[in-house]
Amino acid sequence: MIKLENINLKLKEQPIFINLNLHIKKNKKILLKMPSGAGKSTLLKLIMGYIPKDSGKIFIDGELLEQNSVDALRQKFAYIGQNIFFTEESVEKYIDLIFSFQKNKKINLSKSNLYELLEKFDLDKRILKKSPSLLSGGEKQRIALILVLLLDREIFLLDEVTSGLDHDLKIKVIEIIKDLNKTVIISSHDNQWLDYDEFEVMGW
Amino acid sequence: MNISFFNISLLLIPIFLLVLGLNFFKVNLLKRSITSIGRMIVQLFLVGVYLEYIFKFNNWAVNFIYILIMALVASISTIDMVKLNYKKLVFPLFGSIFLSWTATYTMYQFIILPDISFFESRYIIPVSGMLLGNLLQGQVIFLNNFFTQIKEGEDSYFYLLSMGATKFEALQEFYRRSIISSLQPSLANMATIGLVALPGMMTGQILAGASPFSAIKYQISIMLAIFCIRGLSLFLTTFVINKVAFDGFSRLRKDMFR
Repeated sequence: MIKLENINLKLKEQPIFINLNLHIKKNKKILLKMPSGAGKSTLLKLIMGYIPKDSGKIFIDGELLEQNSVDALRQKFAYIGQNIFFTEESVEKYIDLIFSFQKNKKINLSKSNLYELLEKFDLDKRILKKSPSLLSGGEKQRIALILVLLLDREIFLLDEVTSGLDHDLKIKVIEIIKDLNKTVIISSHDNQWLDYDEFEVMGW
Repeated sequence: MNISFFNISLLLIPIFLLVLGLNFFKVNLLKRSITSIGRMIVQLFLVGVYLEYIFKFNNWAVNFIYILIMALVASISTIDMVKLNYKKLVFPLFGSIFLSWTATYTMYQFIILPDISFFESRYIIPVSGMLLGNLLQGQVIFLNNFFTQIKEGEDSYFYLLSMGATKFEALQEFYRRSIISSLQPSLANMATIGLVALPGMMTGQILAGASPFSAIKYQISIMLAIFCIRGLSLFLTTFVINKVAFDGFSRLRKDMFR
């Protein structure tokens, strides 16, 4: 459950949120469909504690988002921003890197699970050996999604994750996300999301 | 032999003609050349004057203060060139620079100059000057690279944080790349040294009458010390950045920049 109370935020003197209140229940799937500049990405970053707000409170599962709680709360989330690039020499090494983090060491990376997801997202196994710098935008988005699914977080914040995909792939990804048993907040300009009742359109 | 100021001023004539000649290419560098050459002469003249006195006094406290000032200037210049926030960084960075100098020079002194007292002006001042000058270059490249990368790669940094990375784990790749680019010039410099130009310090010693073999020993030892101080200062500055440049939410402080 995510609750935003009286959020105010100005960026470069421009008010983005004025007394914004939002309440997102567990396992709801929210689609933020608003014009550019309305603050969709900003909202997702705000919930992650990635940008400071001027005033207001954010609660995640009843717990206030603040300095002392932010590390633990972030572990409930998976966040995919718009301009991600991967480091390391190959996609496979990048995946290993993520699973080598202290907090993820307990999680077992199941190869069969990974291969299954690659297939589900219409990616060839050979992509694992590719250098991340050679990936297209759409490939990066799908790899990022696969990693997020492998980590199995409770809440997904997805910023324009279908922007680099062609129509058929968009549908494929949307259908995977629609069936997830998770809380999801999506920011997107794509109209294909609107064809599914699972996503509740929200704005401010 | 002693060079006379009159002879030096004679050198200015061909330079003046050359700069005027460059007008042929519509290059007008007259004003800038005059200020640059003027600054060089004035600055070096001042250095000559105060070094004369510093060497004459050869007082440990004076030399120590001189080092402190050099370290502080190195810190300020780094911040200035990378366009960072003076208030937030000047002392932490000074700490990193001063500690790097202390460790490196102490080591150099004990291993290379064991018979000379620690604060002997003739050694501590020029050697520290070379160490700190090189450290400054290394710091500027490192910080410039790091902050450019983290600004451009913020989404990737956030992605890693959300994927369970600690701040340090998420920053590791940014640090790695910046450290490599910072040490690169030093490595390239060592790999090609002596092939074309003789290094400045060595040239100076030879002109002053030292044997080439004694000069290269100094050169090698100083190159190693330079590499050492550059590497060490990157370590320490990484700690500084981790502490100062990020807030309690692990986000880059916006007021780090000017």
